[in-house]
Amino acid sequence: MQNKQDLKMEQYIGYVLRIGAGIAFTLMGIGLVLGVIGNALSTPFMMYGVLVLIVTPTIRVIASIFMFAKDKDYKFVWITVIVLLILVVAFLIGKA
Amino acid sequence: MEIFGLMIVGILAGILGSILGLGGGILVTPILVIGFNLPIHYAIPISIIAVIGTSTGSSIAYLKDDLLNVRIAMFLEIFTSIGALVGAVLTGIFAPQYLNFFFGALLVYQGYNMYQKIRGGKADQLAPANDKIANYLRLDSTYYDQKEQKEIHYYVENVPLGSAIMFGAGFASGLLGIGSGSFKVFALDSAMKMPLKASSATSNFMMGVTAAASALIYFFQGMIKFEIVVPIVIGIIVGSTLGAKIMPKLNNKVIRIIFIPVVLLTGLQLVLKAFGITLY
Repeated sequence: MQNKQDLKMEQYIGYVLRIGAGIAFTLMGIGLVLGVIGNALSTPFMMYGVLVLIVTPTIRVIASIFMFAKDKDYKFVWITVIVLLILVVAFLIGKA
Repeated sequence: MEIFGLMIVGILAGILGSILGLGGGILVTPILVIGFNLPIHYAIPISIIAVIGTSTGSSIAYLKDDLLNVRIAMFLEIFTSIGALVGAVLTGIFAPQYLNFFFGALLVYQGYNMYQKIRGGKADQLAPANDKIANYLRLDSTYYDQKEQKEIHYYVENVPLGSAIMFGAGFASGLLGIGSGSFKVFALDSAMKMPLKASSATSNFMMGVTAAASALIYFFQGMIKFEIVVPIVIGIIVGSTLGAKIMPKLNNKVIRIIFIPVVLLTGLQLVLKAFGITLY
């Protein structure tokens, strides 16, 4: 059965995603409007908006590690740490 | 004017992607290449970012609905991310013709499989509660089906096969840059017998992580055209939020009917590529 802990966990992950999407959406929206009126600040706003969007799933993974740890679900702490490590390795190999 | 065109592309891709559990890259890449004359090497990074937008936008709603199974997603992300890593490393080392054919044929089979499920007419078979790995990892869950108006408690089975297909999903997206979402739904829905709506929501959630590393790499390589990606992604966040509100109310059969042509088209496109025919 699904217990209360999982439900709470889903709420927390939901907050992380909402904050990430919200910041990205706002920055990109400002960037877009500035672009239409020809302001030079358009590009940096759009750039940081896209960057926030791109790192949101990774932040979600990092946040999950702490949440599983808080629930004392150590099996899933390790599973999530492994996912994070693979992401870091993939990024380092890809960047080289 | 172009900005509004791109936003509409984003809204449509977001709605379709969030309902089906596909990133929406399937729609974004061809439209950018054919409709907006963008070279393919600019279209692919944009579609990767579109996938992250769909994943994040739809997951916010699916988490609230409990449609999304966080534990299954976390566990299977090990295999998709290893697959994506291996695929990316192997790019350029071997010729992808055979792989295009193999993955294409698999998708055509998936389309056939879904057609059979529709034709069978009966409700989706739920997996029994006796899978050792699934029980050890506590992968069962419950969601409230808004269409059928009842709580559905489900279990999954065939975890090793599902994991292997997830590896393939990551591998295909790393190496071929395509099909990641279709294979995820295939693994969850067909192999592991997860209910279709939960499969689609969970696939969407996982996709953001599969795309994360390559998106960051494209970002630092300067491969991202912000003036194109930003209106699309703004549209996608709106579209995927909408789609994630629509999907729980849909009949499984309707979702499969929309799914079949999309997955067949992707499969066919890969098979044709294996024979040197590129559609776009």
